[in-house]
Amino acid sequence: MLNSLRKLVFSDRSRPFVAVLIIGYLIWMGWAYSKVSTSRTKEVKACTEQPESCRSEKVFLALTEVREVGPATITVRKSTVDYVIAGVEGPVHETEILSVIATIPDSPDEPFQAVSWEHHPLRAWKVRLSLLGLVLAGGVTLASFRIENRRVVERG
Amino acid sequence: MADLVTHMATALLFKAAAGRKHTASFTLGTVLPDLAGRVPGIVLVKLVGFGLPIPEGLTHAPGVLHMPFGMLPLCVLLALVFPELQRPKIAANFFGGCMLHMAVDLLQHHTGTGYPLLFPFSNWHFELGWIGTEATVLLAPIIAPVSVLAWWLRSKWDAKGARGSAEV
Repeated sequence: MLNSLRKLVFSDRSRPFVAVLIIGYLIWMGWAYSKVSTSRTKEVKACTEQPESCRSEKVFLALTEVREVGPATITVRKSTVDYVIAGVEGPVHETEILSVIATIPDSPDEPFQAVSWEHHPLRAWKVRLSLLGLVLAGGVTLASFRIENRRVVERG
Repeated sequence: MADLVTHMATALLFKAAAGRKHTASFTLGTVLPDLAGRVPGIVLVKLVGFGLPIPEGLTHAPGVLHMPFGMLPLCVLLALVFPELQRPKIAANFFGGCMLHMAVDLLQHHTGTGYPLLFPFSNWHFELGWIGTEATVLLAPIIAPVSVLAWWLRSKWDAKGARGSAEV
């Protein structure tokens, strides 16, 4: 059975059908995931507008970018949404990457209150290493594959 | 995500131990989840920063290619550009690389979040949280040369074995 499935998926005859099916599935999956991931943002927004419904609930803001540093608050961006947060102690500077766990404020005008936070001082080095990795991956692709009869083939 | 140099190094170490066939496909497999699943999202968020009206959901959508049930069809799709007989092995090596990538990423700690391993079937998130998200930055300068050396030694070993069997 596994063998016939393999033949069905990988044969030249079914190739266009399989490709369309996979692309369709991935688009649906991306749409479904975007629904799930934005629903949490909507939940948090609803909480800040009606704080009594979710008092003291926490938000987990992993790897956010610091957009603004004020005297008592900082503004961080997670994906496309900005959060104003109070209570982060110690030096914080703009553009640095920060992970924060914060409680939802009691009113829409108040900032989120940081419970714990983590600085990521090596983040810039990680980005540089990943860019180097991308260049290396490009090199591996060019060195290891070639095009033959409108198909990609592995060298060697 | 760990850095891509570390991901590629783990691929070379794995292939040095398990056999060198399809090393390139396997190594690209370890880069694929970040390349297809993270880079587009990062670019879209940057574009939002420049004032482009991109919906938040669209910045999350490519993330499915960093999940096992998104990686598998992506690997099959990429394998379709190879000759028919090679496709199953190429897809298996791409996917093997993706799974190694996932295994390395799962070691990290992301402030209470984690990876949705079973999406679209479940929203359950998981990570082991044994190392920080930047821990591999310090590891990369060590693991990269070690992996290249291990892979080179394996290729010498394989060549010696092939010569030996040819002489017999």
